[in-house]
Amino acid sequence: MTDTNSKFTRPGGKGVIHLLSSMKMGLFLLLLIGAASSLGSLIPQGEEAFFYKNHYGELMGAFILLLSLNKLYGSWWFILLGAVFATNILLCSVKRLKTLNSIRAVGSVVLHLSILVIFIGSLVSGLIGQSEYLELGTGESIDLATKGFPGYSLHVKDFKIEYYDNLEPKQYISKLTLSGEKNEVNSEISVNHPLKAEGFTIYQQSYGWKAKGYIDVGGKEQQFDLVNGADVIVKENIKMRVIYVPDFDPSSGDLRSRSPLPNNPHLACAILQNDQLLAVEVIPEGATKELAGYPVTFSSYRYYTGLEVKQDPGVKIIYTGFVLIVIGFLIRYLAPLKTAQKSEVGL
Amino acid sequence: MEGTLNLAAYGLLFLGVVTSLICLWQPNKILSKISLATVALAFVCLTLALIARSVASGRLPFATMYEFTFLFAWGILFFFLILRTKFVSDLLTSLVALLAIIIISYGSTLPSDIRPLMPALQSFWLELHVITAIVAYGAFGLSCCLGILYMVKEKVGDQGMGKSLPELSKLDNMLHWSVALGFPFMTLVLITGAVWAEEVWGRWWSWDPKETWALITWFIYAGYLHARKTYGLQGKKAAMMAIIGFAAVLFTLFGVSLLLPGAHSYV
Ligand code: HEM
Repeated sequence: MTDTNSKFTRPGGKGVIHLLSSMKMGLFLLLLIGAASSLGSLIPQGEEAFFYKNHYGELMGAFILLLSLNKLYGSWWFILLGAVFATNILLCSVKRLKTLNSIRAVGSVVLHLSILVIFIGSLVSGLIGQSEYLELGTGESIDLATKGFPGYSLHVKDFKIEYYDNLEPKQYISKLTLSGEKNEVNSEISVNHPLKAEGFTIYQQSYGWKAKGYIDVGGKEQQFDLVNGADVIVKENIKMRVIYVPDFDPSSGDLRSRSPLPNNPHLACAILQNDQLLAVEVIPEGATKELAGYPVTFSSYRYYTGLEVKQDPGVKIIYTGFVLIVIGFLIRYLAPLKTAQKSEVGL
Repeated sequence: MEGTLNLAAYGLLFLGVVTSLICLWQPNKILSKISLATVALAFVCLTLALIARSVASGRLPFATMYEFTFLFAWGILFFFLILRTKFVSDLLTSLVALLAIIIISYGSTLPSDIRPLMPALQSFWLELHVITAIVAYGAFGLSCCLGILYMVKEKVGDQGMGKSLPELSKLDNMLHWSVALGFPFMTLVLITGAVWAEEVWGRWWSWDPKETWALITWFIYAGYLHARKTYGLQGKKAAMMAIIGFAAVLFTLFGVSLLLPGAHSYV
């Protein structure tokens, strides 16, 4: 394609279209988006407003907030720049459609339009994609409607960890059942292998331990089922904190586990009054010990799994764009060429 | 084993720099051949070191920044040796060997212990990501060296060290060739990285500084290719752009980890 400067100066809508479809504009936008992106990597993103005023001074801080440089990549002007760039690529490709004279030129247009596809996919993703993190103990279920996905529920059948010989984790695996109104999907997921079904993608994200038991408060049994490190309110001002130790070392009494395996499960309990420590005990599984007058029983333990549950139709569009880019490149660079065209494509 | 081989590669590269620099000062055909041979041998040593590491760890050496710096140097030497069939220049030899030394030296300061792969890194996409990055960054490294050669040739003409350099237009063409080769692979680096992030965390793009700078790198080379195609950008400006592009590559790989806060915790 060729640019002649006279086209820019033409008045009216046609001039704007010419400008928008020009390579000059394309290069200018590449430079501008590149510069803006680098700014976003230099200024810490997503901090509280006072952070910027403290860090950059009152005036600079106010300036950063005014232009949303603290949330640059989601700001209206950055997205607008992206949209103008997408328009530029679109117009520039449409212009070339009339003069497609070789397979390679078709490849080039496919390559350029696929960037547009990715841009649209990311807009769709941003507008209607939803993602929620949740933690579920083994054996537990959740109605996903409570997380914004009506009509579905999720059940965790099991969770396990595979280890290397040196006990470093090799893989985290959850066994899940996703139930809809019609279908039920059973699947094993692990890191890098999410569940993809019914428009959902469910990722293995995290894990931890949960401990079950009860505390006797003046003859009344109070059940607890807590994530490691959590508190249970016993009475006003009095709470109990639990720390689960899967492989307790009785000789040292250390609360750090000897290994990640539940070889000698114990529950360390601390009774706190207004954050002052009243009593500490380490209780073996199935046993009861008294802390500051409250008998505490540690009944059982199990894993919980941390899952990211996502519904995002944009991703399919984006992946389509990726595939199209690769196809476009292959055709643009590798399609057979008639000798007469060689000089034309400039290879 | 790996350590010894890396040390040998280092020593050989050093020898390559010294001998090629001597040739620049006092042209000498035999010494010039020797300098090339030392760099080629250094490439062999690096290859063997990477194989030794793969054998010792039972996986491909694609997981840590330490491993990637050695792959990066390997890629640059690889493209240098390919280009060697087109022309031989003592200046290019010394530039490439020096660049490889700098990269390896930096890599040697990084933790090198062999650890089994954590779950997030066990991904086919990550392997593709690294393989395509070796090609893209190797080609860009070479185009940067060619850009420097261009500047030198333009300055000194056929005098002194300019004597062994090819014509300006040939340098410019080779520079374009290496960028045009690197660019589709850079595109694949971005795509495979995005797919990996999507499969492992469910976020194909999160604007962390490393991703952002990889995108900026891509923009710079896209700018070069388009400016060349539409405006016939050539010569000194094009050479300058190749150098800036590679500066962005180096910043993505090393500057970001050293200077900017980020979530790219593994590499
Ligand atoms: C980041 C975005 C872009 C990418 C990745 C991209 C990619 C490419 C590639 C790889 C080529 C072939 C270059 C060569 O043979 O040296 C090309 C050529 C071309 N691009 Fe782009 N481009 C982008 C943006 C644009 C924009 C914004 C325009 C229009 C304003 C444009 C118009 C053209 C034209 C007219 C050609 C020449 C036809 C051809 O050789 O295929 N491109 N582009």
